[in-house]
Amino acid sequence: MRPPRLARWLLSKSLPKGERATVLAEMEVLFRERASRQGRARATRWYLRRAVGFPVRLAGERLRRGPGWPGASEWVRDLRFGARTLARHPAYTLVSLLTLGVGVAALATVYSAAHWVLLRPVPGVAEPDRLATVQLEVRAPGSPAFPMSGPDLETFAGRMGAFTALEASHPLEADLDAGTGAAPRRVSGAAVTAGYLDLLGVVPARGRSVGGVDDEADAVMVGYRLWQELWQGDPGVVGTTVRVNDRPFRVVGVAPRGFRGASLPGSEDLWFPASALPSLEPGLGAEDLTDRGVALWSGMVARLRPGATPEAVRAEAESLMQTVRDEHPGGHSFAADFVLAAYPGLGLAPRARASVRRTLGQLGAVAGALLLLCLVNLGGLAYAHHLGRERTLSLRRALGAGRGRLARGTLFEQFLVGLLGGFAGLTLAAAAHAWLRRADLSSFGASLDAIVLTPRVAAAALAAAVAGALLAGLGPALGAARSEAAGLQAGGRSGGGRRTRRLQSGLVVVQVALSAVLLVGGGLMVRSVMALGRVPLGFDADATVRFSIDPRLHGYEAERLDGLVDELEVRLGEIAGVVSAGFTSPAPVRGSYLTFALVRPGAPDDERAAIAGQLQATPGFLEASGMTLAAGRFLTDADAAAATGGERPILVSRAYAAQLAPGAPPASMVGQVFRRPGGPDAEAHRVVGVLDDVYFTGLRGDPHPLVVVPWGSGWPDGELTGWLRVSGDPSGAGSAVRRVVREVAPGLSAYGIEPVRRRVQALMTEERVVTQLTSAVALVGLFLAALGLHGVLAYAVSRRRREIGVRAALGASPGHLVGAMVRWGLTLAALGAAAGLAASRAAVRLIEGRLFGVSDLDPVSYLAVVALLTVAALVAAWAPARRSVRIPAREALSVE
Amino acid sequence: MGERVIQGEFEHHVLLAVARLRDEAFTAAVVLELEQRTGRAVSPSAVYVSLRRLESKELVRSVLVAGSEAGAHRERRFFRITPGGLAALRAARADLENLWEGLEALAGGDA
Repeated sequence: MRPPRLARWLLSKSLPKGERATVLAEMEVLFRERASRQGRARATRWYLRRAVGFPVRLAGERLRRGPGWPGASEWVRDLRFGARTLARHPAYTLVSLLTLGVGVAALATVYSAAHWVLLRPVPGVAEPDRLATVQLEVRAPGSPAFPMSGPDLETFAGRMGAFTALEASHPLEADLDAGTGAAPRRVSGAAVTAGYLDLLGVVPARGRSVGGVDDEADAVMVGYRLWQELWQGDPGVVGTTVRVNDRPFRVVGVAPRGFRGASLPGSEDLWFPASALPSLEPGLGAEDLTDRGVALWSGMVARLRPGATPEAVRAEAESLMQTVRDEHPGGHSFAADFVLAAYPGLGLAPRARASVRRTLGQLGAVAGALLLLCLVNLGGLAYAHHLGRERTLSLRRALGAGRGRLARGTLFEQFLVGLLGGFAGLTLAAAAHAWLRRADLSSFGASLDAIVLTPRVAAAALAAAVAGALLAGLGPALGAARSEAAGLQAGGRSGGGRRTRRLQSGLVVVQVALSAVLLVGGGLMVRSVMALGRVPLGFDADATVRFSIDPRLHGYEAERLDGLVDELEVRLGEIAGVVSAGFTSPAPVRGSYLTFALVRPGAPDDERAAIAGQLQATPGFLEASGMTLAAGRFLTDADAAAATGGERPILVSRAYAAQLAPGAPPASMVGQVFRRPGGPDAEAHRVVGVLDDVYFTGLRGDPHPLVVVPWGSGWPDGELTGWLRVSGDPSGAGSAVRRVVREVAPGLSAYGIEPVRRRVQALMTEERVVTQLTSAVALVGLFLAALGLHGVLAYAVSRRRREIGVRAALGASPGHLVGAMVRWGLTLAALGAAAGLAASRAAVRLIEGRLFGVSDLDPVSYLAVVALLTVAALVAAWAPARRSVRIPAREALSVE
Repeated sequence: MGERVIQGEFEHHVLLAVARLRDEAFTAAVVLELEQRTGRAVSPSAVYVSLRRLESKELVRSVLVAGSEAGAHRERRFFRITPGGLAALRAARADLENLWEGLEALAGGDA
């Protein structure tokens, strides 16, 4: 009875030669003994386990003992030999390490970003993967979350079988005066339902959390970060009183470190019980908390029953919604086309997940292409390196080294290249992470401001580097195993000649093709960003500063608000360097507008009103913003008096004028009167001026139709934006603005103070970052391709010295020799470029959605790529070409 | 040198098994002896490694014997305890007895 053959073979391979026969025989004894006691099946399983365990234990012992342990000396010697070989070829080693390092760094960085943005658990939340983000939304991709009323929320929490718990939060902004002497500051926070924080498993770092059934309306839990910043971590903060929107609140606890809400990136720093909402949201009363028609709760989180799927949730919710509509006709918080959707896990808002995944996917494809290019390059380098050592390998064969030993030696070398290249890649990746932390990526919908290179990502990157290097070394290892002692007699030039050249040329063509794909992508992105930068904004972004205040939180309304705005305008205008100041609501350059609808005179009843976004602005704002007139005049203070009666004066943008009176010149719009929808008695508005189009909300697409109404047309119910035109550097106005606001309205915080140019640039952040990354990767790819081309040509020159010498001796001119080399280099580059440009048609589809003002067949980009590749090929071919000319005919002919 | 250099309980057991088996101590035999005496499964690779460690510490020595008479086995490596190994075993036993002194009640019987 013999042990299983495969296991026996495995075991024999792990044993040192001198011990093999003895140990195998003894294992056979043990196998037979077990088989006789426990049966053959159990004995076989035992033997299989030992066959795996033996090599592992021996390897551990070898590592522990080092040289002197039977078999260890061979491995260590091979490893040392590999290290010495690498040290003796520093150029090859350095280039290989850099090549591999760059590819690994790119992939590690993208993987790290993807993990951080998409897979990172929400800090401070226990078991976020067992919870689900629940949204009331419309049936359209990318729908925002709509709020639900308190009673509707209770209905769903109590009657949805798919949920074992459902809680919600109401996000809010507030002005916090911590009472520590620091200026009031704008803070994000949330009011939460009774069990919200418990559902998230949030354990306060100090004190208690908020939201309990009987929680007092003046309780507040502060965030850990805020606690450190404003109270320096003083445990005595619990029990102190702070002022939020000028109202006193008692601090009852501190949130755990890292917790900033249930979503990523989190921004909440204060949490209040539901009962506090009426004191935090102007216009909200206590009765609204129990009014089924008042929708307050949008940040919903649920624990799903085991086995409940998102589809099941949606179906059950539809049925329950219909029941609620039947039970409370006209008195609920969801329209007919709303659905309740559950998204497993907490993290990025569902709306952001798709676009972030798309962006990361694009970057991943770019990084993957670069890594592939690097591995191809590495393979070429390794093969050329191997060919240069044919003589050494033949010598070792002649001295008795086995084929396996030679192959193992090559693989050890590649293992070292992989290990060192991996560490080089991790160093580059760490630098890339530092750059990501500093980059403002808020427009991505994600934040990387605390991203770190985790051990998991580092280990994966290192493993990929070693695996890639070993893969690239397979060819050379096989070549080493095929070395023959007879190669010594042939002068070690048995490299396969033409076949080798073809293989290397093929590798170069592939590299050039990959590089061309990356360059096309990068080129199109660069042209796109340039086109975005040329979009005329319609307002002055260079000499202006913006900031926000939210006076309604402090009870300012009606005349008191008007008085505040007037006084602030005067005082801000007195700041040195400020040319003009004004206010508007809502904030432009932010993307959310109130809508304004007008109907054309004489339009049929069923014609839809033309919709525009609405700004309510002081005359000072129009002056400060630098908006220009196409016709008519700006609004004045006198217009404010006429803002609420008769024909109310308005400004319209060109885009809106085109909707109201298609084809009519702007000047003809001045003086025209339009009505709101609602018949002949609806509000009338007279156009006093037509503005040139402005791009406030984004640079893509058509300009947004805009209406500007005079200040006093109705009290703005949101935050106000102040605009200052300055005569100097806009970035220095911040402290003066804060001082003036504090003097005029203590307790009111001025926030978001920044030059308008920075806000406009933020609209393009995502494009710029993706473009920068793609271009950087493309240029690195070009460099690697040129390096590969140079290597092939240099190798060819060294291989064909004799032939070149013969040609020179027969009278070939230097120009002819150089021309031959350069022509060959250009041919390879041309083949690669043709393949790459064809392949880039498919690749460009990945970034089609990002392109602006440039077609995907943009001739300028393609021509630029061809020119770059040509220059790179010429540069790569130059040195080898020159070297070919310098070979003395006599020396070349006497080589053999 | 020889005294007090046994490391760990397993090495101790392997050395004892070699001492018990006298001239018949080869790896498989040591494995079987330990399994029989302790009632627990023993890893052959662990015994293999321990024997080589003991040999490097000169607590045992080994000899490779060519295929036996009648071909009952191929070459085998036999281990034998050295005087140093014996001294180490005695020292280990003395240590154990010193540590047990006064704890006879825990032993559940006579000391």
